[in-house]
Amino acid sequence: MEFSDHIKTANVEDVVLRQPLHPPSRGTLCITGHHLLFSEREEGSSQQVLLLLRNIDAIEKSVENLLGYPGFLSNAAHGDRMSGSSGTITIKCKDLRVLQLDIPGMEQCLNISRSIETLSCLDNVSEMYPFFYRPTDLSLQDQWGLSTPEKHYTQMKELHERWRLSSVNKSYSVCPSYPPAVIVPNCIDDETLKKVAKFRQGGRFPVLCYYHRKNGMVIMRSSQPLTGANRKRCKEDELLLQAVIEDSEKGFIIDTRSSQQVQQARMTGGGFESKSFYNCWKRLHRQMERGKALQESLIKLVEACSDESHNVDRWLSKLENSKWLSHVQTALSTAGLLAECVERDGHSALVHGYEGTDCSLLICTLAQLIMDPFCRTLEGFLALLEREWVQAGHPFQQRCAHSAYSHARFQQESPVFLLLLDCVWQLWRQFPLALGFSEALLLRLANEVYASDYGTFLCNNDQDRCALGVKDRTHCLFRALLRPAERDYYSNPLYEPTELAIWPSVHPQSLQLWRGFFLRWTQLAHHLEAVQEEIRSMVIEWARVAQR
Amino acid sequence: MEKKDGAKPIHSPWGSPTSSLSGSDAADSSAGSHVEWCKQLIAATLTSQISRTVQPDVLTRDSKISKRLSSWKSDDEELYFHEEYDLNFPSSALNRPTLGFGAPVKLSPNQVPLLPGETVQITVKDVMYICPFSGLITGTLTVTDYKLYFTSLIKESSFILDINFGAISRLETISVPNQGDNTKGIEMVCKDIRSARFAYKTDESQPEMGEMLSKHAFPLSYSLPLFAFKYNEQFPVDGWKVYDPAAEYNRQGLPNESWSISKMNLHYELCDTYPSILVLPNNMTEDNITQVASFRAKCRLPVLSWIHPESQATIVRCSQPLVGPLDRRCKEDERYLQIIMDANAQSHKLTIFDARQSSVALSNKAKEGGYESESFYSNIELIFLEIPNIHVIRESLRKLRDVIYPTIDDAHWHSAIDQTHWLDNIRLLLSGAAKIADKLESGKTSVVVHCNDGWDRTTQLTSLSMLMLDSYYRTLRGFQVLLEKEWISFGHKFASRVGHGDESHANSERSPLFVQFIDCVWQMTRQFPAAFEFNELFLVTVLDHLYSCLFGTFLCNSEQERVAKEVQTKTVSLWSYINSQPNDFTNAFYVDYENHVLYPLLSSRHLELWTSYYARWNPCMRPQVPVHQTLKDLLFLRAELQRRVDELNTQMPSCYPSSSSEHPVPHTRPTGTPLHSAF
Repeated sequence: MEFSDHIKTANVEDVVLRQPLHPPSRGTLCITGHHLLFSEREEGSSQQVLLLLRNIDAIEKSVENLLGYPGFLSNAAHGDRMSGSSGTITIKCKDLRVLQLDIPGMEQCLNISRSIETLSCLDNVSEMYPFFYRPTDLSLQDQWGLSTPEKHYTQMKELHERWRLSSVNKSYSVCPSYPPAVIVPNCIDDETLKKVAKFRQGGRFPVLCYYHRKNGMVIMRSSQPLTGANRKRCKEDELLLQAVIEDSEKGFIIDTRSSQQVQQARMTGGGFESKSFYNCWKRLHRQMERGKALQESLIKLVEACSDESHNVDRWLSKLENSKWLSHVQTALSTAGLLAECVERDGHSALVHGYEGTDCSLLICTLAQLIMDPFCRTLEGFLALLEREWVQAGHPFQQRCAHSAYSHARFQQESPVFLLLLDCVWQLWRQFPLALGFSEALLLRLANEVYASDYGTFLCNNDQDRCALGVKDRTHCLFRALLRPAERDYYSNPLYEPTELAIWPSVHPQSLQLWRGFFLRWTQLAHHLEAVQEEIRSMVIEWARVAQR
Repeated sequence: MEKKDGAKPIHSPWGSPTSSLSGSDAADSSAGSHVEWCKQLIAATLTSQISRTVQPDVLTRDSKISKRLSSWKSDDEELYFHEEYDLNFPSSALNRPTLGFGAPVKLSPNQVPLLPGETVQITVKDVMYICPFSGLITGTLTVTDYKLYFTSLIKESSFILDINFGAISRLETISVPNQGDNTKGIEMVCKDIRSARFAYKTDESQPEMGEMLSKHAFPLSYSLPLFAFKYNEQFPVDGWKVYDPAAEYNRQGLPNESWSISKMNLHYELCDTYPSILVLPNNMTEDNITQVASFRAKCRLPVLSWIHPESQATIVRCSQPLVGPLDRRCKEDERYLQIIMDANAQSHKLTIFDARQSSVALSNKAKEGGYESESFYSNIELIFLEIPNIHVIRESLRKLRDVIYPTIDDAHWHSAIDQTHWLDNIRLLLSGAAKIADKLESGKTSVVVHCNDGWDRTTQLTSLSMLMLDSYYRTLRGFQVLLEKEWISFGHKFASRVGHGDESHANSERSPLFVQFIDCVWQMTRQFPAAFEFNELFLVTVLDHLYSCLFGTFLCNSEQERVAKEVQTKTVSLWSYINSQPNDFTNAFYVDYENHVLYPLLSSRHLELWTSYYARWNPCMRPQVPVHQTLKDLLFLRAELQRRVDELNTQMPSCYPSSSSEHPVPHTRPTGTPLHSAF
């Protein structure tokens, strides 16, 4: 089916656009296969608003005609012939912006809204915009992505003595959501891995995700073991974990579920590493919400933020009720616990929850930011995201199909990645000098993950990406962010590298609402951006003068 | 075990992995038991101190700056660098500059730093500090005439607790179980949120500790002088010269054809709570003015506070008219307001902002007070700002204190803050001030502001709106002028509201209105991070010395009283201290938004609790990185660059247009003004 089949009305004149931070403007509205384009038609200005349809989370329409009759949808066909009829479309975006379009003509209005509804949630990945986006300064021949598991392994020389790169998954047959190459203990052969994979949900057997140079300890991640009600065991799995800690006396398993939850998980075939079979491993349980609970929390928070009434409205209580900040707190403190195991106690750790594609990735990423100075640079952070989220198989397509405004029935949506960005922002705020990137980068990523020109966040895993040719037919966001102009814009001018770990404070009074994201469409955020811009230009200017 | 990790390992709120049991969710989901937590806390803070010494660059940077600051005359520099770390009361958290300034700090025999004029009264050994965060700490308590100084050694690292007597609101004896019969306990509840408890052995040979503390904490109740009258530090700058009323009014363009600088109140005969110099309308005779004064509560007649440089619209402040239940009128008062209206050619209206709730204003009418009737005063518009009175604000802060100190309920932090209504009150005040500012700026209309007596809410409103309207008051010096003028000279009753040296803590006159005002200023600095020349440390320092009784700045209730007590000659001004080391109090990112009016955003989403002030005693509030230090270095760099630009300018005046001399950096100023739209 062609895009044009979905577009009955492509152009409408004399549309009024109302958007936050701007006065209403009048102009032409144009719908294409992937974009909504509004061009102002007033003398002296040629402002344009280009919006990816993918960015639209919800659309509400109300039509009426000027004769004073409320227009019901069933009457639409009848009413549109009357002169003076008009409609209003409210567009709620995944970046939390709310736009309003006043469109003359009821039929045009309904056509436009139908087109947007259909085109904003196309299911077919290869019809999405990244497959059509062709900027002049990027070439499809460029390398896609910043690194590969192979390169990463080659660079990590310290690893080679005890760890090897296994290509047991090169055809994605062992674990469909893992990349073709993963790092595992030297002494564990591929046959063993295959057996371990059968014992872990979705085949996600324990793999190395971080090597702590200071003491040689590692972080592994996986999915839950499939012990089931009968307490099944898997010798190979036990062997693999034993190989991780080798001769050091113990390791920690951080399970992102409560001890109650893991008992329940056994009833449905899942389970946990029991003390008697894994006697060198000590389990720590930290219950982290995910999935629907997290999605509902986001919805409540956004609702509270957009309710801009000025009267006494118990804002802080609403903020608390949304529980978003307590999710931030749990994530940061669990990551802190993980980092403490590795950095302070000097033990290796394994992290998993259920599938090992959400909370596990979240806390592994945060722990690396806390401990590893390289991850705090701009390149390092992007490489970390690529390794721990894109390659490690966070199902972006499912998790980010809709955001806080959507009326669609939620299935797999969950703002785990947004929660990660919020946690990183809290780190950034608590350690304003220790991170090499700016808040602007986090905001950009928060947009891109929901609607993007680039292919980076498409699909659910590496296998899907290969099948659809994402790496050949789209451009990579991370590479684009490292172009000189972007690199300048997204780096932190006050950055001072520190080798030390950065331990965040996780008390509620130390955590704040990420105003820059959740309240970004109010004047304040706008103003703060201007100041940050000023700070940036000051510091850059100083550096320039100092060099002379 | 944890020797040299962590930039600043605060403590381990997620619970140490070694101490939790596998599989037992209950034990390790919370932060563990309180005692365990406290132990970890001490361990972590001690570690941080150890790790500080292994970070050579931090140390050298600290001393570099300190040396720069103390370069006036320091015979014995080492004395400045006593490393102190206090777990419970991290005044050092904000890198507070040492108070000992011109002369080197003297150390008493037992290593208590003393200010010039300060003397040790008694030293008591084996006193137990009952720390709310880490249990009992045994150490030595030294009492001077200015402060309590408690020191202890925990694992070879010193713990210091320093409370000045001015901060103490009340002293209470408490029971100390399990420590023997001759052990007494005392609790000091402080005005700045915290409180401290000590336990000590009673000893026949020593004077009663409770009584001695009481004498020093509340000297006025014992007919003794406040410490400010003993403190004799010499600063290179004289802060008493900061505010010269005539110069300030000249800066505003006064006198002019409508307004004159009057000496009618030179000896406080017109109004004893007003300053000696007032700006009054030209076209009124002295007799008429006296009649107007007698029609206003406490004779606080309408006088000019601020005039708009372009529109000539004015902010006029006064107290409520004495209308009474019989609807008394005063022709002179009506004419007076008419003249104020006429002095501004841009508008034919006058807006009266009554800070009170309209119901309160009405009930005041029954008690000889009241408000201006729109039928007697022509062309006026009366707006009630519905701001609650001093008692409500006092209660609100008391509730806030209960939420914050000593421990915070993590699970209900936000809703607990909500229930104190503190931020609601902040919002009401800011929005009232923004309405006044907007009336002047957009409406070009003169305003009259009053409440009951015109020394509490009125002062808050006029000073906040002036801060929004006039960029001069947003400088370090200008803000001092604003405080001296609107608060101190116009008779905000600091002595009664704060209760300096007075033991009657339950007095209904007490109210933290000045704290509320500074909080509003802080909210504005958050929203306009580059618009204020002073930084957060400055605001915290001002509030600390509101209570400390070290400086004379906030003593007494009125200018008249201050003159009678010779405050200016017998005490030191807070501004002497501040202005002797301005770098510490300067915002590195300050850009002079000259002639820009700042309208803060008033939605509760944009206000936040000032935790770095209210919750600063909580050990987890210590800042994570010394940002303050970096900002100070940036300031230094900026001054350096400015100097180089100036040099280049003098070398080649012909090549460089003069424009570059103002800022060393070509700012890419946002094209629009950095303003929020009104409301």
